[in-house]
Amino acid sequence: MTFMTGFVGAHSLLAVASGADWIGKAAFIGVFVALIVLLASLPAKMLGETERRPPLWRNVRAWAILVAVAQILIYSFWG
Amino acid sequence: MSTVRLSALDVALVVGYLVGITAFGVWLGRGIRGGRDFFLAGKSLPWWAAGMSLVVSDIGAKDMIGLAGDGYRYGIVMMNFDFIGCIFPVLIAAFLFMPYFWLAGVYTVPEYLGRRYNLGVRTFFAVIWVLFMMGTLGTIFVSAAAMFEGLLGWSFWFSVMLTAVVVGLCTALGGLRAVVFTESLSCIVLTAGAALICGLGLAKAGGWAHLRETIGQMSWTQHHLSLLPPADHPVYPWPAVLLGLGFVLGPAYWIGNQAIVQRTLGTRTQNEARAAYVFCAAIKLVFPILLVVPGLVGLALLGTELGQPGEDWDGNRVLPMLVVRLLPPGVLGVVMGAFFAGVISNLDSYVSSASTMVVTDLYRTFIHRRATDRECLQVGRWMVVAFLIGGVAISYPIKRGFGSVFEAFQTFLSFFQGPLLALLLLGMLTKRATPWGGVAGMIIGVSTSAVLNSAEWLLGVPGGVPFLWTAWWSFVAALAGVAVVSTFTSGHDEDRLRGLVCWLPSEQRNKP
Repeated sequence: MTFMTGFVGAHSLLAVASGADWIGKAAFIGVFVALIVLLASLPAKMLGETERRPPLWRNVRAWAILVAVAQILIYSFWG
Repeated sequence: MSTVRLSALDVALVVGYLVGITAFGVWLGRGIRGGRDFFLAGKSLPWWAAGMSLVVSDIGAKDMIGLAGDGYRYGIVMMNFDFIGCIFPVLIAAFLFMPYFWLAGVYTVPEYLGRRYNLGVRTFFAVIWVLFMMGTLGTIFVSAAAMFEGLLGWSFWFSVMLTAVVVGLCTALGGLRAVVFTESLSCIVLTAGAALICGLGLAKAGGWAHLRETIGQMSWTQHHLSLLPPADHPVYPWPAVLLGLGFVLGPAYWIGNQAIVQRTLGTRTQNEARAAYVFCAAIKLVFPILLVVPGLVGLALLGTELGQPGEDWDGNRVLPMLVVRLLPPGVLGVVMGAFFAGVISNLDSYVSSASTMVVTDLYRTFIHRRATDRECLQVGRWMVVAFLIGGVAISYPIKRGFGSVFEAFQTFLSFFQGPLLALLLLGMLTKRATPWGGVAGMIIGVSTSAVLNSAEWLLGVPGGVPFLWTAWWSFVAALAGVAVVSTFTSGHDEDRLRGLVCWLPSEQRNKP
């Protein structure tokens, strides 16, 4: 029982600790920045890409990064 | 609520859409020879069709109506369900998770869990998903019938039977290929319909700037125009949105839901599967705006009539009232077509996935291990019919207590989402997760969900624990359960795990 109340109390503490609204915006933007770093750093072999890099408009990884950038802009303006 | 008076042009558009989509689905069914053609479209789906299909598998007519109501009640925070709750996990799924489903050559998510852990974990999640899908079919029939009854004056049984026949013909004859291509068409119609409601509504409300001003003047809407409400928000505090929705419920839905994963397993190449996910994410940049802004328009235009949401307030009235009052003839036909598209795409996704899981995870595992591909096709087709009959049969009892039944199904599924994600995550990322670890994580995670869901009377937490926090902590508990029990138990050997775990590529399987 103590274990479970610990869980419930922990999320209350988290909520109090994250009181400043700018932290929320920074956290969401940070998630997408981290995603961009992850996407950019994935080894080509893991994605089955050949040695010849595909043109940008056919590069799925580049499109994914573009979508993540759009999310950063959305959270910057509306967050 | 007054019903819509359809002009001859509107009727022609709706009938044309229904007949067209049924004929298209049946036509696509030619050439199906076996289970692989039926369940995975013979691995022939192009990325753009799979991507559009992913979008409408997620968004149905009930979501269009529900999101407008929630947009009215809570504001643009609801867009997070498509932003952090969809785009983030979809991109993660595309690059980290999908390759392992693909390389494992599986038909279903439970099949992957079975290979990675054991038959018990596989069967548990297969049965849970099949039960949930059966219940969901009933609720989709009911919500569709309520919508058509409210807008067009159709009777309950006429609405249910019409949608069941259209879905049955497309899915039973055409399989996944018909489902995906008709859903692509539905995606276009749904986007057009949602854009028309959003555009015409914004014009009527005096544009975005005037809409903001009107909402800003209300006494109870101070967080309506913020995507991230403060940490003490009673329903959607931003930390819970990030952790519960972004890190657990979203990924569990987009990575662990058979209806989603099956589309990408049917693509021609692994790269096309990845492109389908990214295309879906790109479309999802626009969809939440088209679906939530009508709720704000409703607030500005109908706010005095509908009032401030209280306990008995019905958010499902917002969109139908806007449709009735805003849309001219011709446009109305497109929007009604969009509602049909949403209903049909939701239904065929669930029917197709449920039949795939029954055949793959239950029939071929427990009843007829040596079933041929042709036999699986026949059983799959009959299962589509059986699920539709089952969905129709339970729709009437669901109708009688719709609110509580729908909520019960959603709560039921939320018990399993966190543990499912934990098992998939550890199963794919580390070879140390053992079969007994998987079983323990499943039990501990589901128990945590059940306790937190009952926190109000069990632990004395006033108002209970928000469902997003329940999802997060059940996920954490399941992770801990898998990690701890795996430390003391032995796992599968490396050879068996090749292609299932990210550090053990399958191409090395046959090397000495």
